[in-house]
Amino acid sequence: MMRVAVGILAFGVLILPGGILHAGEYHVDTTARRQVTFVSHAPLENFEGTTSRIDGYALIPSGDLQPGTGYDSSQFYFEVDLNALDTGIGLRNRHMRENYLETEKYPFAQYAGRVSEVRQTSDTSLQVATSGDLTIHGVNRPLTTMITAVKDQHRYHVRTQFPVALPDHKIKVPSLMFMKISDTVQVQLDFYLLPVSGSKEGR
Amino acid sequence: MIGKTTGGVIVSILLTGVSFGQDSGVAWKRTNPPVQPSLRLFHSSQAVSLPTAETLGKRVLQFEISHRFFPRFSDGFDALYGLDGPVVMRLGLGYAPTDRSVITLARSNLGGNVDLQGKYELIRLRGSVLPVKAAFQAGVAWNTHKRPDRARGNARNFQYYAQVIVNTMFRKRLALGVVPSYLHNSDINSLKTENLFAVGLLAQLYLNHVFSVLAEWTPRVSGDAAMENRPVSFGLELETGGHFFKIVATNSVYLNPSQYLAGTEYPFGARELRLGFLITRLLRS
Repeated sequence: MMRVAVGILAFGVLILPGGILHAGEYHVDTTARRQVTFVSHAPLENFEGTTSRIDGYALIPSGDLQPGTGYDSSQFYFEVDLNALDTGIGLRNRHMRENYLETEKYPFAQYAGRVSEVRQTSDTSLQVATSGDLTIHGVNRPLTTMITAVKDQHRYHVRTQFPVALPDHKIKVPSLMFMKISDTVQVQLDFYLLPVSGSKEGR
Repeated sequence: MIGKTTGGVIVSILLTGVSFGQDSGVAWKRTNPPVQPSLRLFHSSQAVSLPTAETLGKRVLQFEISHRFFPRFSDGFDALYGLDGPVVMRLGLGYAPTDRSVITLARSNLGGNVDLQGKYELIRLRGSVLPVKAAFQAGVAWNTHKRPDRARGNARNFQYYAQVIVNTMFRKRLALGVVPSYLHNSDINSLKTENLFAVGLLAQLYLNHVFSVLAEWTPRVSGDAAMENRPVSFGLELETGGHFFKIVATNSVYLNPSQYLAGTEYPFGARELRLGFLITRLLRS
């Protein structure tokens, strides 16, 4: 009886901190290169904003990505700190934060959803179809996108890009020199997913 | 031997833990709090002529062109309300080597006043009641126009100034500034070297994302001013992502710091107001 109780207690001590560690749980590697870029087209010049402040996780119950479609119970959540976006000009950053993105109220852009399908494109490269909700400026919009995931030792190097229509998220279209920029910006994500301790890949 | 009660407590703790773990779903937690943007009060690095505590951001260039029209607004239609000119013009180029510093080289055609200045942001306090920013600015001006009585490089043609800039802001709408200023060799035409202390006062009310109104006054505190009247300016500012446009009315046509601190020959009043403008363009280097 004593052994059983101690065993249960030890199990509890191991799993309680931070919640249950799922098999196949990956976190954004915050020690590796992370880059989020948006590119906006304007009549006089294009401009872009960048930040490294992307974080989040992906949960792949099977442990790692394999070609196929059985990912109904997968999930992911990524968030970008919009206060950290830098267009290279402080005044423009301020306008973007205060006048358009309203980052005091909506500090993060979030993409949450699940994997739909995985296709193998080379020995190490996978095309991952995802579907979910993109939340910017407090407005959710469904988003399906194709992600390139390249196996890099035990990590995945993740890259994707997709257009975001500003009016869809109730963001006013900014103007430069009184000429409006395009109402769609191209968003690019580039980061690594690292298996956490406790997942199959992390062991 | 573990009793039933103790065993029950352990099981309860574990069940609570499992339940919590399932609710949160995953082990991931946000590790860093949201980034707090750097404190900015005034939107622009200068009001009309007085500086604000704002800098530009590392590696940003600022190009500036300013005009003050000599004829008075009250000269009316025949002088196109002063816009016929002639004008005093200032061209300037600023560069920010760091987030907190700016170096600016500018020239006014009045006296060929070439001005080299540096500004450094000293303090940023978000404050629970009022935010405060403070900066220090200092510069040297060389009046380069040839004079019959002295060589271009004569020491009497050089002026030096230093300014402490303190800014605050109410409700993200009303920005206020105080700029205690010292000017050495305040009157380059004088036979002796004179010094001047003045305190610049500025206010800017931001009406919306684009428009604001602003006003400034630079009363003399002590010392010798080259001219007896003090500059007063007010105007309208428009801002876009990389530009500021300011349209002003003022009793001073002096644009560089060593010049406007020295005073103006025109008293403040409706008859003596002149029009002017300032355009700045921010560029990423």
